[in-house]
Amino acid sequence: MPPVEAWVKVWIDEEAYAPDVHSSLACTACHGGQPVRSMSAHDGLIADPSADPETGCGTCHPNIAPYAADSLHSTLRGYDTALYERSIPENHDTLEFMETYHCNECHATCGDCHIAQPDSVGGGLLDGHAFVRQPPMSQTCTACHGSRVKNEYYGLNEGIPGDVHLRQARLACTDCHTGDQMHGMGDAADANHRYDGVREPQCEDCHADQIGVGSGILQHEIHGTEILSCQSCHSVAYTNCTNCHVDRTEEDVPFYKIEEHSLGFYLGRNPLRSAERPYRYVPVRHVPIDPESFSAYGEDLLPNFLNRPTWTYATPHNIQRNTPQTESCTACHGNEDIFLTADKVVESERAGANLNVIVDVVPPMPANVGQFFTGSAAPAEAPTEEAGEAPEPGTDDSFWGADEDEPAADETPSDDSFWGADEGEPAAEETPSDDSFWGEGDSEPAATEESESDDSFWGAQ
Amino acid sequence: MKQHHGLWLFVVIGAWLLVGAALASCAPDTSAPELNTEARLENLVTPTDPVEVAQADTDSQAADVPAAVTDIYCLDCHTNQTIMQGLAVEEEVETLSEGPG
Repeated sequence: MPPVEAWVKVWIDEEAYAPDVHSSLACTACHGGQPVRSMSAHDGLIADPSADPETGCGTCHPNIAPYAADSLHSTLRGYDTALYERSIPENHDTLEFMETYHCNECHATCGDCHIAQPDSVGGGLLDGHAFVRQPPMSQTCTACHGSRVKNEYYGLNEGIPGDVHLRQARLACTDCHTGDQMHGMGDAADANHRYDGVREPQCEDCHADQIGVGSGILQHEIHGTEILSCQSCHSVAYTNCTNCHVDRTEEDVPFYKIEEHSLGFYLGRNPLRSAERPYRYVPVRHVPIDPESFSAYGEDLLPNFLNRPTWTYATPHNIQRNTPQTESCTACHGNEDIFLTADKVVESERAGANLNVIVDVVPPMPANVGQFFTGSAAPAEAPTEEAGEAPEPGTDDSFWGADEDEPAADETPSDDSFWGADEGEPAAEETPSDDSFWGEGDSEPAATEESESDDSFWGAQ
Repeated sequence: MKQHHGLWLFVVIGAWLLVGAALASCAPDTSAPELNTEARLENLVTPTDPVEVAQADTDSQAADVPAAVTDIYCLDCHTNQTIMQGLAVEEEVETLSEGPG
């Protein structure tokens, strides 16, 4: 993010702001202050009226503001969910105090997306105080989600291309992440963490006819929809961080230090396996946490450190149609390099919740693999509840690795959905072109209306 | 005859213009109020040494006269690029953090 000069942060562009409906409101109606012509006009000034969304914006936007006030963006509840699970109630106050220095800067108000750049990057009006309906992603979304999402999506990690959704379709964040999700509305209303509750957005929203059995894509027919998340095959190396520590200087300036970070891609067992996320394997990422991350604020603040995995469910934003995983069956089957095996986890973290993530046995190449390509794979070899057969070595379990983490009975993926209930023969030629990737044979999707303007798409630089 | 006809046409057009001007003067003014450019110039601060907003003198508040339209006071300064450049104070942000954040 280029720094914004101080004067730009408070300069109102008449041309941009005059047509905005908000310009019909008196400045003091939102910002308070004094109705005088002097510097004392700033007495009692409210710099960010939307700091309290309900009082700042709720009068005119009662259908959004109360939800936004309780959204993850506003409350940062996701941090608490993750930290409290590793801690005990007696430590919550200390952790919350720590958060005021090191986490709360990421708190996003309405204005942090729709009027100005977020405080975490120094602020600065987006368009001369004009309100921006669709926040420009470079100035708002990736201003905060910069170190991972931005680098992945834009292709800023050396040697790794940007996400296909950007390269080919120029999709902005808001093209997939809806306003409801951002504002904590609808299915996102009760989420306590980014990966809590309903899976949003979903690849199926755009690619419904290209996923799983019936898609006509051989690899999708074989793997179904409940073994692997889409990212397991279609994302590439992403950033993993370890040993983040936070502290403050004597002048009370907060800082953090991440001792180690590296690019890598690892498939682990899904720690969030449920009906909503039924996948057996997903990409997992090491999050920047350490038992001593917050030791500057107190001793043993995370006594239950491994109650939550340090290798967590990940949805990298560097989706590619072709990845190392899609090159061949053996790119994954029998390839220990791609799975999070115990040797890739530091010894002190080979316990607790990480045991639900570490892959003990890498799925080998199935003995009957050839049958998949001739279309004669016999579903009978795969145990089905209808047949009442018990799993046998060399069939489903040996193909995918022993499943030690089956979801509850009502959430168990049916073998029918995996093998295909109709036993239909997969199409022989299954190399989807870019056209088929985007569906319906359209050569390339038109950029959204909002994306057509470089300014609105990238944000004014 | 032609000269009479031209004179008559001149009188008619002149009358129309007078009537039009009279009507226009009675119509309500729907144009947007212009900003007080004089006030801008009076308040213009030559950007020599930056003045911190937080250090501004607040004792003069009693002498200030409340404005009927407060927006004018705000916008007079905040739409003036020169004033803003003169008053704004650049903050030096000390970055001590290491690693991707």
